[in-house]
Amino acid sequence: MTDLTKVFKLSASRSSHAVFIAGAAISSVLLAGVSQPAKACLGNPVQNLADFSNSCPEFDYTIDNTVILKYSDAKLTNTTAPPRPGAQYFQFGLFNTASGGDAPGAPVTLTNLGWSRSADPASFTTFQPSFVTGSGTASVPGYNYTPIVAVPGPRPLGSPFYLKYTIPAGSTALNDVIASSFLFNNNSSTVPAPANTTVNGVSGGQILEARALISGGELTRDNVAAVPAPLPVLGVGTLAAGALRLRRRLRQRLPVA
Amino acid sequence: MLPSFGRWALGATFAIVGVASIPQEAKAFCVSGTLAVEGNNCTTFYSGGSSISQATIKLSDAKLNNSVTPPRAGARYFQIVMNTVLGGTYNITNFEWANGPSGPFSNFQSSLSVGATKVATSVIDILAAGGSAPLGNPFFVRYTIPAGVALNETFEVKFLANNNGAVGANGFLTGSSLTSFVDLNRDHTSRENVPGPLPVVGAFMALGSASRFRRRLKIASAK
Repeated sequence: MTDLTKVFKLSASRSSHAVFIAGAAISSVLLAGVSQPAKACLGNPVQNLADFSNSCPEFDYTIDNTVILKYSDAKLTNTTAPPRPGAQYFQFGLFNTASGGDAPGAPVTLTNLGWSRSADPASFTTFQPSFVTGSGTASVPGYNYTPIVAVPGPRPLGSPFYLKYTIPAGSTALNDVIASSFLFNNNSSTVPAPANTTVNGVSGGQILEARALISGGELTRDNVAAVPAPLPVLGVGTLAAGALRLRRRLRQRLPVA
Repeated sequence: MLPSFGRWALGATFAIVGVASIPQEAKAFCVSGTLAVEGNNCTTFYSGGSSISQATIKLSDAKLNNSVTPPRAGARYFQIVMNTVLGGTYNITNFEWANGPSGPFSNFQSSLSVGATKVATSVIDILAAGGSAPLGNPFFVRYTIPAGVALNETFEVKFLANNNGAVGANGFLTGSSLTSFVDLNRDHTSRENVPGPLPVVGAFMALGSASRFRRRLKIASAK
């Protein structure tokens, strides 16, 4: 083996090491990033919250995901013409579907349902530590609503207003959709819940009346169970290729019997 | 005497101009409302006289656009649902849609008789109404509220939209966020149609001048 060949093999070996280390680093960083709750939702949660009023239109269903929803509406604030107090009460309903909304999904137990006047995750007040969604399809919603929440402190809720909840790892299947409805008004008046709707798991209950005259309204959002972005796969692929090259180089260096 | 006549004429002119100026500006009859902030340029409007009110509402929701994450078609069908709170019945006319606050607006329904019970326009497919899908965010609808609406009457207005045209048992568009269902409400309340300060000032000036003129005439005839 000439010196030049040795240098080449050495550099090739170093190159394989570098590729291996790079692959490992990329995978570690990406996997570590995915496992952090704040980044669990796919895409850019901060940008999604700004664009879609939903930090988590898609989520990796194999890990915990913290969702923040943003609600903007003039009726969430006081008005002067005509004079009317803004909304002070809200009620939150959810249901789960399967196959992207084509079939009823299994009810999902969500955790840490909270409200806030700020998007800061640390500012939320928990109003339901645990809550089971309803089940329905895209065309036949099956909401299960929480009890009505009277937000303490001075009126009104304020616009924007935020809700937060956690979708626990493994509680949904691929292509499940968790759909939600945010009802609000300023006097807690209610109407009978429509068909396929339950309130705190009980059918035949009442839901908040969503009329503009009482600063009422309904805003909907949803989250879709998806697979992680292909970047980790790229990292794993790089890692595997580096390992193969390293193995080949090591074999070439072994003395022939 | 000439100055008195001058004041009388000036007052009369103020009164005439003040009163005449109201019906000339259709938009002036919406007393208050901010389209940008509240999505409604006509939260209150004058109730009496011969005035009409042209209300424009702005509808904003991410589901009015196509979505990439997750992939989903934005709303394509829409419908306006209305009712009155005090129970009067009025004919709302010239329903139009647009993609911007200043148009161009396209007519989609000529009139709708609105009373205490919720009634709806036809379900409009934006493709059939001269537009393109999805509706787009924001989306604008305007219509005309007639003259003579009772004081304190409120029109409750609901904008419904979805991407598949599905309607419920009540004939209104329905669905969930999965079918880009949107439910936004706006309302308009009638206020008393009082004349502005200009006619009142004019009327007082005219009255004052007339009194002085009468007094001068009395003094002159006594002499």
